[in-house]
Amino acid sequence: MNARKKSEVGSDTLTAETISPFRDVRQQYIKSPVAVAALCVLLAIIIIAVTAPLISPQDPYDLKVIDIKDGRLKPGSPKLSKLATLSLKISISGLKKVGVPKASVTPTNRSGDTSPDAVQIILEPHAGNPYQWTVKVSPTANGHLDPLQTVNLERLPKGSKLSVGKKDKFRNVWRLSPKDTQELILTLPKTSTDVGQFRVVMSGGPQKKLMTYWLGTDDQGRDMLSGIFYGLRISLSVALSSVVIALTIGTILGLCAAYYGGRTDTLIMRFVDLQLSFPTILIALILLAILGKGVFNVILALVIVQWALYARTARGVALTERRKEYVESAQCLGLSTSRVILAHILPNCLPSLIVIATLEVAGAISLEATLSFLGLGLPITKPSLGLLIANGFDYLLAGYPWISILPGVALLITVFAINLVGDRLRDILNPRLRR
Amino acid sequence: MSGNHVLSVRNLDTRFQTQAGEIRAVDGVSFDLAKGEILGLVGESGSGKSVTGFSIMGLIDEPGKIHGGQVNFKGEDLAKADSKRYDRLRGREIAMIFQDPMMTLNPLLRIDTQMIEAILAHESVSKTTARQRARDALGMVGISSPDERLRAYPHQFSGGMRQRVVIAISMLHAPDIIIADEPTTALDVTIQAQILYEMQKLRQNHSVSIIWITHDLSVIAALADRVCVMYAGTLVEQGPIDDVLDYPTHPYTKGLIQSVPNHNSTGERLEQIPGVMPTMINPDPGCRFMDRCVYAKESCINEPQLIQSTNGRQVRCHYPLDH
Amino acid sequence: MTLYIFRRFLQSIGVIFIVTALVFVGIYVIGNPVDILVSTEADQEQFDRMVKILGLDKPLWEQFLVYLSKLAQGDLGRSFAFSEPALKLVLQRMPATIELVTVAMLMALILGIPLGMYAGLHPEKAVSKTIMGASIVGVSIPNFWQGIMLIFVLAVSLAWLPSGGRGEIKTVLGITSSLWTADGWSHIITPAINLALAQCTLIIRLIRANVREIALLDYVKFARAKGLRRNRVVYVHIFKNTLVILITVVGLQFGSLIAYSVVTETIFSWPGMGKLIIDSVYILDRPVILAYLVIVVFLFVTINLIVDLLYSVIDPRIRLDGDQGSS
Repeated sequence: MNARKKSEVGSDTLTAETISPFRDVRQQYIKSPVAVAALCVLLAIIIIAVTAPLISPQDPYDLKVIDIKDGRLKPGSPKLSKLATLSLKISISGLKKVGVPKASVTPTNRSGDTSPDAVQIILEPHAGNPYQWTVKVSPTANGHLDPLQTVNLERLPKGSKLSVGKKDKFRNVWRLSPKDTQELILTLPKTSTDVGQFRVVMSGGPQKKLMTYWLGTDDQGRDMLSGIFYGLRISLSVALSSVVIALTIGTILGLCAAYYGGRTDTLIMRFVDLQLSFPTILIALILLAILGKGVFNVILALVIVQWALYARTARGVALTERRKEYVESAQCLGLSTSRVILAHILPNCLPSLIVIATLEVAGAISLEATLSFLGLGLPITKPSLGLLIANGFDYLLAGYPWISILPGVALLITVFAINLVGDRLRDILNPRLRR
Repeated sequence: MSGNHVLSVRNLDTRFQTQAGEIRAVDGVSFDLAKGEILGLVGESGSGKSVTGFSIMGLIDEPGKIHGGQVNFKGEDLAKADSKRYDRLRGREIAMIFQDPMMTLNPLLRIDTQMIEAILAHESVSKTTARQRARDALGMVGISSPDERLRAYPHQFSGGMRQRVVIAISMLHAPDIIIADEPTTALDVTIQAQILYEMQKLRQNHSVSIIWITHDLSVIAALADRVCVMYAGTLVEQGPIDDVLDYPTHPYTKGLIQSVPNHNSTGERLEQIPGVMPTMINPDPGCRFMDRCVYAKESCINEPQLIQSTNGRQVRCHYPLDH
Repeated sequence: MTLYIFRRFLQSIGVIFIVTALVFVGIYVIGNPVDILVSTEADQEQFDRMVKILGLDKPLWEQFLVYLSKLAQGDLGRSFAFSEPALKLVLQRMPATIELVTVAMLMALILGIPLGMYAGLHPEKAVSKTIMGASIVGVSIPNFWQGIMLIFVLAVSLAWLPSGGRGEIKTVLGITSSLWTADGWSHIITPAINLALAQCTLIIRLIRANVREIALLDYVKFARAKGLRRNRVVYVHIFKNTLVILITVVGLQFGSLIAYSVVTETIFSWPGMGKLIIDSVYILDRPVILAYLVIVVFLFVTINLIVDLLYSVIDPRIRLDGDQGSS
């Protein structure tokens, strides 16, 4: 009778084929490019967190690798291999005697890849004036100190003068720049004894770039990028653990309250209401003040702060579902209480719980960072992003802002991405907004 | 043809742009409304009857729009009117009553506030005068001790009384037309009867034309002069109420009448029209009722034309039923 | 109505009682009360003396009664660090915090309400979308880092405003505040902005969601059907209904602001209760921590009570609940 296909269901649904809820959510989720981008960023962050020890350029907590002299370097600075150093003692004798005074050079100390012959020092007395010498310092062909970086003349007799270089205000050290060393004139004070002694300390040599501090270094010389990777790892794992635990506990309590009703319900809900009426940060603060620092305590505090939210949601959904007929019919069929709860009511709670859990991860990360920033959260051995930011705060006003700003940016991006994902999930799973 | 017609709708086409596609909620609907006439607009949920009412009032919001057609009122096409014109028109020349009186009145404002603001929106009179008029309006719909009632809040009234207040508000400016969108659906049957009585009184005393939108045929049977039957956005049958009820010419109308349980047929099976309404997104061409019609034939795949017959009856069908 | 107020009042007392009992349990039962109430630097003799003085050798229920009676008299112990009564210390710092919190709340409302209403009434416009996008970022920025950034931008890079501390205070009409001086304002602006921004985003999102919902409701449509001008529809019908939610949120958020002022005061060295508690937690000055807790609970409960009362003033359905039966 009918040549064309059967009509579909009326105006407010599109197709009659069944889609599993998960696929449906996925389909809807993909429709927002912003949400998809956020999810990608989030996955990247999770991968970074999980593989932090593998992908960090440097282990920021391995003291052997950190060089405090590399502290507070700008983002993009290279980490250079250490300079070789060499120090030589120079003795000038025969100043008061007749005849030509003599100078002898003895190496006293070296480090790095040098040998005493890496540098050639020539001392020539001026004719007629034993107190004036021409000094020439040059790196030799075996190159271990070539190019020269610093040349210091230390412990010159008081009153000595050099024709080039700058004397340090506080210490008996003359600093020369490498080009000064071509030829300089040393004038010893006339009251000096027969022997004049001083030291030449040089450092130099080729420097290899070992790595680049892409995001700079903090005050201890730790690579910021690595620190941020490790920090993300810790922040994320602490937050996730707390959410999983709080979710479990809260849901169980909420379902119990809904199912057993009566006094259990009132008791549990009183606690829930009490807790939810106080700001989370205060509760966490006081808890940590009483319990003290430590990873376990922080997770405990985060759990205590969150569970009420899940409990209330689970209870709300459970109460609505409980009145529905399918629960009654399941009970009429003789299914046990726990089966009814687990198999029928729980799946209906999941959408709301998932949305809240996602957003709470962001909240937990933020809260933990705040607590660590205030010095109440994780200990220094488990540095989270909050601690990094706290470390950098003092340097903010001193001209090294990246130490504080960059971990904050990482924190911001993480929380932002999670919030976007959670928001999108909420729009999809919240029945009220479905048109 | 708009001689003594107060409203003349021609080929009204209202569409909604959604993510799923373009919904053609009202597709080529035409009817006339005479002065003092009660016209019933009947159809299932989703047939487009409420949208028709809102289109006339200009209350179609994004993503909807009146795509085409005319709404001729007092020599003017309202479909082309601007918002200023509509502001003056609504409440004063055409009024509307909604379905759920609890949601129609603002729960945070007193009754007198809501009535006085309706008066002051169109006339600059003193508050005292407005108050007096509000009082009279309440008296007109049979509400006793109106002074007390004026100071009350909506939640202190019963459902039936709330609806009467809403009717009173609609009559404040003695409009030419009242569009009533399922006004008794949310009320129980006894209250319903009272409301129907009030409406009839209004028509009698004030010659106001009423468009009564409902899915309940029995209400129409009791109240209306003429009836328009809508299905899937189209008008399928139109005519004087008794005529249409006794001699329906459209298969859908017939099905509708038969599905109303009446006391003459105890023990018989309840009739149902099989199937559900088709989607109004990019609808297939041809008669919309085809898939559910027991009389459908091959040629129903073509767009059925409007067939006029005597005494103002119209039907949109290839094979109208004979009597 | 009076019955309602009375009931709420009793509930508030109950809450205060429960919290103080919890604190008692936390300190005297779980923690080692001696460590908490006696400075850890006391030697054995002083220790034993303190135990006697504090009555810690008495049975638990007796200690609880003593605790309660002391509480009622306002004696919460002496601060270790300052050797002053802990309660007095906290109360001294309270005005600074209240000042900061009030300014922040006002800022948030003045900025947030119009933006939220606009975004709710015209959700399709580009401006609205930008506002909403910015609000998600606003919710995501960790408050302490935001403070740091504000300092960096306003105090370091641009050097427009000072980077911390409270300004000059003056007393006008019996109220002592830094708001009477220009210097005071220059010092309060940045920390107030820090507190306000997070609130602002919350208010914007809330109002927008609310306005969107309300605008779709029947009574708004009916108001338009009556022919009311758009302005009246918006301000009287939509806004008044939003007010209900707004007041609840503002009230509750006051509490949250007081909590977050802990972080802000620390970063900006603002001499309020928040900074006091952080400093006290560092040095384990527990009497001060206790006093702070008691004060804060008291403040919260009071605020909640006021919000409930306001709520019933605005929504007649609640007000008349006890008196008249509804339909």
